[in-house]
Amino acid sequence: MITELAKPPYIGKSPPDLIIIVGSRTGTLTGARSGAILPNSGCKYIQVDVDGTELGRSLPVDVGVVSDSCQFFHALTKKLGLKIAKVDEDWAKTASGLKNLPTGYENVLKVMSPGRIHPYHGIKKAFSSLEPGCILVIDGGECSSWSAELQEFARPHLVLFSLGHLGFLGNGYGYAIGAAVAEPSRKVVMVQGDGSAGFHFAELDTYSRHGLNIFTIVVNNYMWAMSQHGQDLMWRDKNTSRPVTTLSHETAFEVAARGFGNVAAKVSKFEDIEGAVQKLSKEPKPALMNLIVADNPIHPGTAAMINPTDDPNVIVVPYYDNIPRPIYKEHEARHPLPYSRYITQVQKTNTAFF
Amino acid sequence: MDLPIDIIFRPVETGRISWGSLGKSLPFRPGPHPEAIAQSSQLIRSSKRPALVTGSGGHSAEVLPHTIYTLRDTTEMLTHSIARMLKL
Repeated sequence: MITELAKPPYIGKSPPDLIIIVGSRTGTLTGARSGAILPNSGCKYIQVDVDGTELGRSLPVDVGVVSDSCQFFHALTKKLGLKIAKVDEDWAKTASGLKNLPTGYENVLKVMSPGRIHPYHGIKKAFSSLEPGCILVIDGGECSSWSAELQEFARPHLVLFSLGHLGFLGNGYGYAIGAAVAEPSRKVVMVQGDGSAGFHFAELDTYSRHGLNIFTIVVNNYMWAMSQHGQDLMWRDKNTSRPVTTLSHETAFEVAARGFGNVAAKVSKFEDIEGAVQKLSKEPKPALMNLIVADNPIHPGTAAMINPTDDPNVIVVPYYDNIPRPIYKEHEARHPLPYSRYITQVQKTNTAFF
Repeated sequence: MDLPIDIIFRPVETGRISWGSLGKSLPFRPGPHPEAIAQSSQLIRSSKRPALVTGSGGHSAEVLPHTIYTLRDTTEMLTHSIARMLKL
């Protein structure tokens, strides 16, 4: 998985000094320009894509190649010759071992509180209980971070991460429909958070009317987790109100799914996950599992996207790079101080300038 | 976009549809510029810690063998792990 490339600095290793991007689009999945996944210094880039507008979209590339992937590899092999590339032994060991690094979540409690399963363990158990060979469609905010990390446990034929270039939400329904129509013999497993699930939930009616082989898993923590956890990280002490990012415990996705002709169940006990997944994923019609998970674990991917600061000259932008607060020329002409310092001074002296 | 209703409901005159090259063989795909390959080769030779990132355009059933054979044929050290991937 691409996020493995973020790990070397955290285990005392140097990141790649050359990245060859072939047939892969950069964007949210690759950490954009943040440098978190694709280093933004000390690394050369070769990018190969059939679409010339993709080259250098996120980061400047040293060699941009408009080419079909096969044609590129064919020409490169011919040019490089046989057995010439020497790879640093330590790097080969580091790179091939990144995905096997132990995760801290293996040792945390599977159940955080009665009826609230840890999302890592809940999704891992659900994926492990599937028959191998599904098409896995990942949607949602924080649940997509957990799911992407755990995707190998599903032993999928294909993974479709419906993020797009900018981090879209809710379009997994369309991906699932497309996959189910294209490969009707394969089980399509679509993961949604309880936030993203609401975007196009009525497509479950489409699934049912067209007999699509789709099993939906709603990972439900009764909140927009990525947003609320971002708010917690930014304003925990300053403002505890979360009226928009808190979702309802009353929302019964399993009931709504039945209304759309799906087979459905609500699962809130860890020991019930395996049986429910095995039963629901083998149904001859579309099915849904409303998996209730704990709301408090914050996925490290969310924490990595929030950079809180008290600097009044910086605007904190969740999910993206912070930006400097603009200084308006009109103000500067009237007052020598930057606007934020000027306002601070106004507040301190309680002087009305306007 | 607005389409006149008489256009929308007019019967299709199949003889007047331009099908372009549909029905013909697919076009040849674009290949890399020779200089791009020369520069790529130079960067690969001088790198110590290279990484290959592929997405849906690079790991399809059609492309994956090219990816793997490129690595296998040009790299000594990864031969073992690639052989395992290929189940050789």
